[in-house]
Amino acid sequence: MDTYTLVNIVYLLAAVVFVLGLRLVRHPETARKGNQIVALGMASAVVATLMDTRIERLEYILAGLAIGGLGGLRFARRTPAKAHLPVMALFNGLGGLASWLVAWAEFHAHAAGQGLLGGIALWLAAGLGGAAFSGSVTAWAKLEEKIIAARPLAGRQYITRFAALGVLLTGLLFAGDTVAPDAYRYFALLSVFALIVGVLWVAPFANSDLPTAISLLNGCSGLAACAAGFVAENTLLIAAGALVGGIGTALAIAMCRAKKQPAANVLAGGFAASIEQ
Amino acid sequence: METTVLLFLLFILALALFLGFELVSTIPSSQHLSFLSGSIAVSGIVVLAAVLAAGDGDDVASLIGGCAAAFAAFQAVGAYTVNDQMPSAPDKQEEK
Repeated sequence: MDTYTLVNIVYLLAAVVFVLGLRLVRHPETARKGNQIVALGMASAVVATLMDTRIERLEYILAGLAIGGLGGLRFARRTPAKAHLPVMALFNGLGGLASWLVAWAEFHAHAAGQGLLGGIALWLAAGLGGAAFSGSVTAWAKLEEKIIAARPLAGRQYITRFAALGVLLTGLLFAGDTVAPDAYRYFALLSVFALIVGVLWVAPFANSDLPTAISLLNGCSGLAACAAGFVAENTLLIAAGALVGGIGTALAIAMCRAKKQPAANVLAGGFAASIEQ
Repeated sequence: METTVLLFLLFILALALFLGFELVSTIPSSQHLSFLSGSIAVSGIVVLAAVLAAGDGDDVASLIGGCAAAFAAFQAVGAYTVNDQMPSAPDKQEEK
């Protein structure tokens, strides 16, 4: 059996494990077990990925995983229970950041031969990842009271919409031709616009509504991972990323319903003039 | 990427997306935050993309990929650890 087959079998099992584990997370008695099962699936997937023949060197991988993993472990151990939500938001943001970095790395190394679809995948990974990052960090800062709520700028929703349009247009220009000399500039521009959208979208949320925002941001980072999966041609990334994307969006809507809020109004966030409830 | 592969992957994407929606529809609102935490841990799957990028032959890409791997590992390990530290019995209204 060649490595490609073996790796993909592990991916298949991991995907099944994710769903089975998440089903357990729905109930308080089995939630912890469910999380452990999902963790096991993820760890197996990482180990299997190391066998991918496209990998040419291990140093950066192992260094990154070790430093990040140990750092995450220490940080998590020292997190008090009441800081649970902001810390989760921060984690989501880092995932978005990772997606953006991956898009940048892949674009830098393999700009040629991406084609339009490859360009679109890079664009989505960078744009969604960047927005998820800045939005999540903003949510974290609001919850940890690191930002003081200033008086909202009149008409700021236009800035948000303009930035979103910016992501769209620069993204299309970028995806259209990833080898053009301007491509790097478009990549940088779409990244900046994405960061702005993230911050401004989250900014008007009341702290009590931030779980809803964080849930949608989780959906974003999931879809960013999914897009990265298209860039890397990795089935598990696509499946798990889309799964999280669906969960994040559905959960955000469910949270609005549970609080008897109109989902469309709340989820518009910084795109709307004010959040009516 | 050839069309057949692309279509196949889009098929998986669509099903996974709907699966996510369906999973959430069965969750009581008291478990929303707990499930959100679980989902954030799963989005650590991006570590796979980071591993592949960090293993690239190109020096710059590998370095950037290494950083991505660090952040992704921080997220994955951190989120799973925090989730594991959550009390297994539900606290009464203690979610602030």
